[in-house]
Amino acid sequence: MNCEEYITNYLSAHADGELTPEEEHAAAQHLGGGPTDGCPKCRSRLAEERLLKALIKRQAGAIKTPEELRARINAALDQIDRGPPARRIGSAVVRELGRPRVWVPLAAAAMLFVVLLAGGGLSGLHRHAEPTANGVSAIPAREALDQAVYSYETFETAFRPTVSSYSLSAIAMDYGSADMTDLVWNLQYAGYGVVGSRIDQLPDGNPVTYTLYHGRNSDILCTRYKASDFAVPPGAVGEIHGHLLYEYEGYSLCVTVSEKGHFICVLTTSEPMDRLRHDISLARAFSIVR
Amino acid sequence: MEDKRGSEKRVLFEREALPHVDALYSAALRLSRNPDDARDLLQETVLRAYRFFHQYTPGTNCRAWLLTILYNNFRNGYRSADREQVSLTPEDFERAVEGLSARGDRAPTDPEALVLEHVLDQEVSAALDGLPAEFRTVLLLVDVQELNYQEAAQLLEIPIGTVKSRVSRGRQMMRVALGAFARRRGLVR
Repeated sequence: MNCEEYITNYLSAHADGELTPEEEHAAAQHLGGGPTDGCPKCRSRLAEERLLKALIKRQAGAIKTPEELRARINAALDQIDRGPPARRIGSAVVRELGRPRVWVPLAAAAMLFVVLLAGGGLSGLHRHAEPTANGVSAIPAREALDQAVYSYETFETAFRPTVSSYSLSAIAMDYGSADMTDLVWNLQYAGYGVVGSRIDQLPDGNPVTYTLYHGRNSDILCTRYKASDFAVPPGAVGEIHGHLLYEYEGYSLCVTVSEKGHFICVLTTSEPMDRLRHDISLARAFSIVR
Repeated sequence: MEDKRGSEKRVLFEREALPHVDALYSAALRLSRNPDDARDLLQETVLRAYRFFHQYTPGTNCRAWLLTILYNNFRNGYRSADREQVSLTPEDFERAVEGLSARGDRAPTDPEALVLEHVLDQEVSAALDGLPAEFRTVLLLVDVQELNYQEAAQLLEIPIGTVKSRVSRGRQMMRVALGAFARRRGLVR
């Protein structure tokens, strides 16, 4: 090995402890140990590389988070722990119903299957929906709903649309060009205007689209994922035109799985369920291609 | 009972994740290069991590998991800026740095002449901020956050060989920049 080869191919990984045992051996042979054997020049380069690492770490590593920012984050965590403010529907407190992190109760899960079996229009949706013995659904479904609820909470305070135009056709076109379905909820007749839309990537790299609608009393967020395989969560409290309704984490949700199973759409709102059901009954589908 | 489950999650989160907040804040500052954006990025990251904490596997590298969320948030928030990012080669970078240097007419840096012991912290900072994003990011992950190449590769979703070459080229660029600063101060001829 000559110096150029060492510096180009070995030096950085050597300083980082990332050489394989064979490479380590070859590097050690080149570097040597004493003043007369091996390569003192590359040895000092290695020392310098390590120093550079330390300098970078020292400069960029030791920044304290401002106390006031920590306090703000803790307050936001408290807020998540408390959940959204409880609302009354009749005599029931919604938050108590919505809080469970696990898709129970069994009776509700059983009810869903009755609904699915009775509603022929939903056939095909429930092929992966068999609950485990304790009635807990597969994880991806919960993640899809968690993501929807999380995004709703985030976007209610700050929404940065990626589509500059707020018209449904501009949004549909943008979704279409991003290889997401161009089908968009039109909630105009239910009294909701479009705030904007956003295309993002989930932590796993899959695309997700958000369409935020603003109404008189509340917002509705449509979160849409690509999916080849989706376990419909048990625990639905109802169904309307083939969409399943859930009360989750204190929010009202409407879950749709596209006919071919390629997309999942979750509508999230802090409105009570009967209100969401009413909004959906007035909703239209908007699409450029259909 | 619900409250109990909620507080157990919180206790675990405070034990596993919150000790890394300073590291996340440092990374957010370096990635965004803007204190306001860094604050938003940090808060978004911590809240998202809490919301998705059930996806974290206890016993694995929590800092790497948190940094993945931070990096993804950053990438999403800055999508258009990223697209405009021009990738520089070390040679382009060298020319750019030399252009800034008061002694820009000198021959390209002689690595032998570098005196890293005498560089100033603000020079390290300026050199780091001046790196193209893809090189800055790997150095932040490997040198500052002490992730290994495999962890950095997973986080960035790039091959491990790419991490290796970016670390090497990134440090090379740092040396060039620091050398130019040192020459400007007359430390090195």
